Amino acid sequence: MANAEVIITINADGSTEVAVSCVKGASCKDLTKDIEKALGTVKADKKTPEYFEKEEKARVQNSN
Amino acid sequence: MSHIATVDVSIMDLDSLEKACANMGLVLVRGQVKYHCWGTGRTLDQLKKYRAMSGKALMPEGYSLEEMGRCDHVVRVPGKHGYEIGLVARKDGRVGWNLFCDLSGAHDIVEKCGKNLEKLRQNYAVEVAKRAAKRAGYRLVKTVFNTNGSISLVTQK
Repeated sequence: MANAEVIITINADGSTEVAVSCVKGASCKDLTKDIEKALGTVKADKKTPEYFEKEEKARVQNSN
Repeated sequence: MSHIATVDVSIMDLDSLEKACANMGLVLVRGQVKYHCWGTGRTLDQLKKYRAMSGKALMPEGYSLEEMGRCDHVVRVPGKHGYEIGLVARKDGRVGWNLFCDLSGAHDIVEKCGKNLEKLRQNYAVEVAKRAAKRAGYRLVKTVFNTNGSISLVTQK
């Protein structure tokens, strides 16, 4: 498995985005919560298909 | 990417602000409770008269004229005007400070920090993010200066 990667982009106006890659499922939220808290207040949180990948597998396993 | 969080950055970490200031040739003075701006050279009556005459609020919403020039800490901006940026405690229920200053005529502040202090805010956010990522166990592998003026910190663990 690839290393967890967090990319923090600080825009020219000071607004900031924190993105996680190489991590599937909701656990990615735990990887960034301390960084987000140190920066300020999360005003939007966009989940990508990778976020739901592990949860999909879990549902399939549960249904069998 | 599995998720992307957009964060409204708040000034909360004086150590990071101090580092950002040093990077920009500014000086953070902790504990200085007055910042120099246009209004600090005037009496309250003069300020009230000017506000009535100009129709300008002079202070952001939630702050009174009496509070003009008062702060908890100061960022000094070298230059002939001697104007300063005050760190004033937020009143919106969030932790941290607002950055207050008088930008009209304060060419030194605008030149170094941007017309809305955006350069200072960006530098502060970079320093906070570096420290927070390190504390969380990440190592900085790359800093990318993007063509749109944004800065990306690529970290891994």
